[in-house]
Amino acid sequence: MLEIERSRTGLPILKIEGRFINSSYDPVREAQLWLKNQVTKLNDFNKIIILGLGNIYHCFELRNAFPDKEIIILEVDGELLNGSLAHFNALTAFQIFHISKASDIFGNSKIMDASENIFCTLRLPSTQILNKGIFDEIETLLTGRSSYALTQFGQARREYKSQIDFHNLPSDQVLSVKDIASAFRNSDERLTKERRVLYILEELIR
Amino acid sequence: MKILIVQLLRLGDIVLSTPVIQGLRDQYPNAKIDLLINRQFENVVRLLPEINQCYFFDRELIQSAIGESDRFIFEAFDRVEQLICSLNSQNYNHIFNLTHNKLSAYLTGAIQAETRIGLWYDDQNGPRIESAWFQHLNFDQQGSDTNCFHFVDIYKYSAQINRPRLGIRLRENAADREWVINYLRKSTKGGPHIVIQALTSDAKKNWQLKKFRSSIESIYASMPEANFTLLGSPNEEGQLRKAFGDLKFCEILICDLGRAYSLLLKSDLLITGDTSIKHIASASEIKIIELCLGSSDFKRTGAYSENAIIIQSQEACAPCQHNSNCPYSSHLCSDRISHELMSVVAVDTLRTRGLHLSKIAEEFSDEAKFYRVDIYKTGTWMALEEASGDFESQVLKTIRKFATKLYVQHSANERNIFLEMGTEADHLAMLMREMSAKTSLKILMQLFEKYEKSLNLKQFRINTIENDFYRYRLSDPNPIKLGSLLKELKSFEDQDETKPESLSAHFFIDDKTPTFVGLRKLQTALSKAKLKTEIEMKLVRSLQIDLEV
Repeated sequence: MLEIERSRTGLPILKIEGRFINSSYDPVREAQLWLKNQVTKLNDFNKIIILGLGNIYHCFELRNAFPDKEIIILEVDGELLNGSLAHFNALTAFQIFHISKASDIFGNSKIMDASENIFCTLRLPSTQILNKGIFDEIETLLTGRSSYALTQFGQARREYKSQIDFHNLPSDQVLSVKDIASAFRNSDERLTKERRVLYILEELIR
Repeated sequence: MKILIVQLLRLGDIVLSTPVIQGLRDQYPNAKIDLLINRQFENVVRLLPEINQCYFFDRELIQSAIGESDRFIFEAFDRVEQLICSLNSQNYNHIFNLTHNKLSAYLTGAIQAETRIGLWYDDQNGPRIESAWFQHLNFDQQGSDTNCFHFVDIYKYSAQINRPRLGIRLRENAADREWVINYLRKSTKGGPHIVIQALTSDAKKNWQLKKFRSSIESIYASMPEANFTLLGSPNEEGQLRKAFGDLKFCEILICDLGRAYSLLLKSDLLITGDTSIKHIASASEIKIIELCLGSSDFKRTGAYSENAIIIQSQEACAPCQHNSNCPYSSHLCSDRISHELMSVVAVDTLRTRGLHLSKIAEEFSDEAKFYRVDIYKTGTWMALEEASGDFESQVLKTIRKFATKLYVQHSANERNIFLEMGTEADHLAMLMREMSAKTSLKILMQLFEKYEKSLNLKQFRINTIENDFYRYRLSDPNPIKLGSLLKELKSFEDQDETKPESLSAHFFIDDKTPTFVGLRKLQTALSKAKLKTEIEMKLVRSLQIDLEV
């Protein structure tokens, strides 16, 4: 059950099934401290997919720090999502999507569009407690490092679709660039732009 | 016109690219000249003149995207692709790939351009080297003294720069200059200012810090008026403070490249290992003493500065392979060089501009070899060994280097080299006259005569092998006969008293090589040897005439 309470600094905070998901003292300060450790990493990305809405103040801080970056928020808990939207008007400025099961991300055009660009996935601290299992699964899929996820993302990418032999990917392990290289090699020998990129990456692994 | 220069090596290599950038700017004043370098050396850009736009290859970011399993698998692809797209949008006319490795070759091939100089891969995944100078670099990886050309020269020649004497050039920032003036005002005692870059990026190339310390103390004892600054990067600060922190007369300066360059411009002597600082120093008038240890390859990357002194350890294993670890518990090449040697050379360089270097070389001949850098008027860098007893070999090396240059130029331009060798031959004669001052003209003429005879013999042997080759080709070509022909070639090389570059080193034929490929390679090697010998012969004969007059 979702409850709204006030922090000691007077800000609304969320309580789910008796547990606070924000700092009950100063949620803004908590979010600022968290963001401090993420800034360097995030500078290198233009699109950020945030897993979990729970710590809403984290999203606000992120938006303040990076007003120009595209931020997509994925939330699993429908009640939390609706409750939050009702209490925090500022959330309407974000692209927030309800994901009920992990594979839903492949049916979401915004997420698939984001994957066409350089993006990073950021997991909010609350997702380590609330719906951890599903968020773990979403996080894994968003890395594209399983045969299933890569096939889904790869199919969406026209330029790679014709060049990667997706059946040739190992199905039981975390995929690496080397695995893509093996799947590439079975196609024709002409040096396309994508193949060049792959060779460049292989040189970097060496 | 739009030109892209690809330089994906380290900081020093970027600095070594400045002469070619300057040369291109002189030749094409209105061209847009862009540079592609690794992001980690972003700081050097403000020192580089004549660059319109700099692109960065995010090597570290891409490598982490490949390696970290929590990052999107296509991220690394996307980053490289994004870079290629932004470079392609520029529609370059020419690309100069100054990085002789596969990564840059794939990248260069992916960028659209009318011409590409240097290594690149075409659409059929075939390696292409569109410059005789880069081909020369490719086939002479372990080249001898006479075959090796400095990277700066290779870059300039391959870009066909009209001003061969162009050296390294950097841009000084006014704020850095101001800062250095204030810094020197505080520390100066009126004597010369000595800058020391004690640490390199590779432990194998480092000289012991305690030896640096002893050298500094000895120099100070001889020249108490001297000022000392130890340069270092932030990650070297701890080591430097520990080793030199208590030396009252020696400042430790941790600063950026801009300030380091300004300091070098105002200082008198730099003592350094194989570092980018020596290349930055080459853009100034400062005297340079370079310690060549570990895998340092001074023949290609030595200080590009006239009269720079290069000290190479006499240890048998030096120089070692770049990628191999030192098998010894301590670095023997570094151990071998004493602090006395360094202090004597430094004091002599400051007091007499290295007038007594050959005597010092004799005295410390069991520790190191000493070289002095000369940049010829025709634009060739050469490190000449300072050893009194090795005059003959120096003369031969110089002639051969000129011959190699003429030979590669011939391959590059496909022009009649014998019509164009005048300038090189004139300059060689001038050099020989200078060299003859060390001995007598008579001895030099005798040397030429001896050399001419050996070249005659060499020509005769090449002709014999060539005749055998044609006879063999007309008969029934088979691998056994080809093998015996190769043996003949090998024994010819072994017998050659002038010890030239190896012919057989230019190609590799194993049991699986088809006979026709072997034949083609052999024919190429023979014609190369024939032409090079002919060039050497012409040079020697023209020297004989010039010097006699």
